[in-house]
Amino acid sequence: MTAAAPLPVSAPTPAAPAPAPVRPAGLGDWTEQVSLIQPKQASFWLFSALLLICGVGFIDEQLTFANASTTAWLVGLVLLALYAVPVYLLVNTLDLFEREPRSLLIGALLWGAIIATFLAGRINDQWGEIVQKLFGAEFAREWGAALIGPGVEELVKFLGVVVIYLIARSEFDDVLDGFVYGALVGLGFTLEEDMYYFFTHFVGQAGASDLGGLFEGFFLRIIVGGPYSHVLLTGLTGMGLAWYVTRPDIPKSRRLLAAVLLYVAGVAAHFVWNSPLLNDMLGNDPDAATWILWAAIKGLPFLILLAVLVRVAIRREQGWVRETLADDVAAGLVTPAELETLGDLRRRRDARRAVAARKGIEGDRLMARLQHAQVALAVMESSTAPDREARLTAARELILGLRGQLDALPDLGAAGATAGLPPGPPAAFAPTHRVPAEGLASWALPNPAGTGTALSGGLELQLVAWVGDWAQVRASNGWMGWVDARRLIARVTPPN
Amino acid sequence: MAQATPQPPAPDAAAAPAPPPAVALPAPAAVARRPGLDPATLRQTFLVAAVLAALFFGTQVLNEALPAVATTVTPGDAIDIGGGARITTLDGWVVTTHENSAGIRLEKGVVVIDLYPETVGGNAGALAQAYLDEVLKPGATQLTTTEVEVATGDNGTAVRFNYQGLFEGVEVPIEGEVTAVFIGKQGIVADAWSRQGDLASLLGEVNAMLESIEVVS
Repeated sequence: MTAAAPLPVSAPTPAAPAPAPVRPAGLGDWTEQVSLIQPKQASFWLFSALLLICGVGFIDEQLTFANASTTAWLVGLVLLALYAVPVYLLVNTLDLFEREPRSLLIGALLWGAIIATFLAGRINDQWGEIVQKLFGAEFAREWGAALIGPGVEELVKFLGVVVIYLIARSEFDDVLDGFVYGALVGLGFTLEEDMYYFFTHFVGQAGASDLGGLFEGFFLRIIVGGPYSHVLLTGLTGMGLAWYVTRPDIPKSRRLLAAVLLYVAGVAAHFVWNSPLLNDMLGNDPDAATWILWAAIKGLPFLILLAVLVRVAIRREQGWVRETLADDVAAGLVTPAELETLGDLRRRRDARRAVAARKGIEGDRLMARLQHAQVALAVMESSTAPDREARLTAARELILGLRGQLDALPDLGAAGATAGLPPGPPAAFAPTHRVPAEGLASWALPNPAGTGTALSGGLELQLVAWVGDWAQVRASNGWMGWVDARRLIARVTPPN
Repeated sequence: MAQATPQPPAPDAAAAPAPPPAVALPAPAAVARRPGLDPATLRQTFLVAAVLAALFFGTQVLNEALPAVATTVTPGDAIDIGGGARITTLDGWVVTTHENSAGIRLEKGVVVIDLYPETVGGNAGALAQAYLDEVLKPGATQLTTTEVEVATGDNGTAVRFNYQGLFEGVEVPIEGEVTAVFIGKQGIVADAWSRQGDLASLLGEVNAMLESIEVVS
C-alpha cells in the first residue's frame, strides 16, 4: 500500500486556510440546528410577546382549574400525558432523517397550547355573537361551532406554523417538516382544549372532584376523538405551508394551489368534525362502539389523507437520501443493503437484530451507531455550511471506524446467537493510517505550542476526526492525540 | 492486536516539518453579524402580526358594529321577569319574552338565560327540584346533573346545579346551570344554557346578572 493511495474521504489541502468551525468528534447532533431563540428575527419577538400576554391567561385558567379540584386537575394532566407522549414520539419518529430542534418543537407546542387557544377562544366568542346577530340564536347554537371553530382556530394555529418557519426557515427542509411543526402546534392546542373541556363539561363548573366524569371526558376527547384531533388538522395545513416554501422546483402557482388545498382540507376536516351532521346516529344513549364508529366516519377519511401525504413525503425523503448517498455507496461507506434500510424504521431494527444475532449486543449497538452515522452523512451532504467538508470527512471517518469495529467483532456462533444476550467484546481498534517511517509528533490538542509526544514510524493509528490539517487519532491501546494530518499515511482497506 | 503504549520517539522526529498552526476546537462559527433585525423576514412577520390583530380586534369592532337581532337592553336597565321580580342586565344581552309561559329570555351569542317567576315549593331547593323534574327531565333524552349547592346572599337563599344532556328537537348536546332563588314569597328559576363548551365563557356575566335579581312590591 502506498502513501499516495486515496482515502474514500477528501483529504485537506496542504495550504488549508484558517480552520473552519469545528464540531468535536462524536456527531451527537448530526447537523446544524437552529434554536427557537433568535433575537435577530422579528418573528421570535412576536412569538415571545404573544407567549407572555397569552401565558397570563393560560396560567390563570390552570390555577382556576387546580383550585376547583386539584385532584381532577392532576388526574387530567396524567390522562393528557397518556395521549401527548405517544403522539409526540410518533410525530418525531416519522421525521426519520432530520430531527427538528427540540426548542422549535417546544415552541410549536407552546403556540398551540397557550397562544392559539387564548386568541381563538376570544375570537370565537366574538364570532359567536356575530353569527347569532346575523342568523339568529337557534342557527348559532346548531351551526356556530362548525362555522366559527374551523375558520378561526385553523387560521390561528396555521399562523403559529408560519411564525416557527419565520424564526427558523432553514429547518423547513421538506414537506414532512411542515407536518411535524403543524402536528406539534395541534397537539398543544388539543392538550389545553381538552383540559378546558374536562373541567367545563365533565368535572363540573363547581369543580367537584368527579373523576368518573373526567374519565368519561378522556374517553370521548382522547379515545374517540384523539386520532382526529388538532394534530391531524394542523398537520394538514402545516404540510401545505411546507409544500409552498420547500418546493422551489415546482411552479409557484402550483405550490400555492397545493398549499391552499391542504389548508382547505384542514378546515374542512374541522368543519365536518364540529358539525351536527351524523349526530342522529348517536341516539339517546350511545355505547362506546357507536361513539367510535361515529368519530371514524367523520374523521377517518381525513386521517387517511394525512397518512398518505406523510407516506409520500417520507418516500420523497428516502429518494433524496438514496440520491445524496450515491457517491458514498460507490465508495463503500454505505452498502446498497444498508441504504435500503435507512429509510424505514422497521428495516433498521431488523438489520440491527440480524447483526445482534451474529455479534451480540455490542454488534447491535455498533450497528445502531452506524445507521445514525450514515443518516447523518446524508444530512451533511446537503449542507451548505462553511465547515461542510470537515464535517463530511469526520462523518465518513466515523463510519469507517464503526464499520471496522463492527467487522472486528467475532461471530458468536449458534450458542451465542440463541442465548441472545452474550456480553459483547470491547470496541475493536480499526487502524486507518500509519505514522510515516521518520516518526511523527503528536499533541493533546491541535496546537503545536504545547509539549508533544513523538510517535515512532510505522505505528498504526485510527483516524477519529479531521480538522483542517490536523487529525485526531487513536492508538490500539486507547491513547488519543492530534497529529499533522498531512503526514499520515493512509492504510486503505478496500470496502467489502 | 496488543500494543500497550505509543512507541518511543523516533530519532529524527524533531527534524520533521513544522506542524500546522493551532486550531481552536471550540471556536464558534464566525458568522458575520449585522445589527438590528433580519430584514428578510420583517415583512412576513408584520403581516402575521397584522392578520392576528385584525382577527382579534377587527372581530370585536365588527361585533359591536352589528345591530342585535332582537331588543338589546341598555346596560344597567332593570328588566321585569314577572311576579315583581327584576333583573339588571349587562352589555350585549338581548331580551325576548317566552311565547308559552311567563318570564323572559336573555341571549348573548350562543348563551341563553331563561328566567321564570315561580312559587312552586315555597323554597329555593324545592323549586330547583321541581324545575329538574318537571321541565328538564321530561324534555331530555339523556341528562346528568351535579349535586345541588346552596348559597346565601343579600337577596336570600339560592340553590344551584349544573346539567348536561341531549334534548328532544335539539341536534347538539346542551349544558346548563340552573339557579333557583326565593326572595320573600317570590321564587325565580334561571336556566342558563348553551351548546356544550360555550357556557363557561359567559358564566361570569350570567352569575353577575343573577345576583342583581330583586323583587319589588
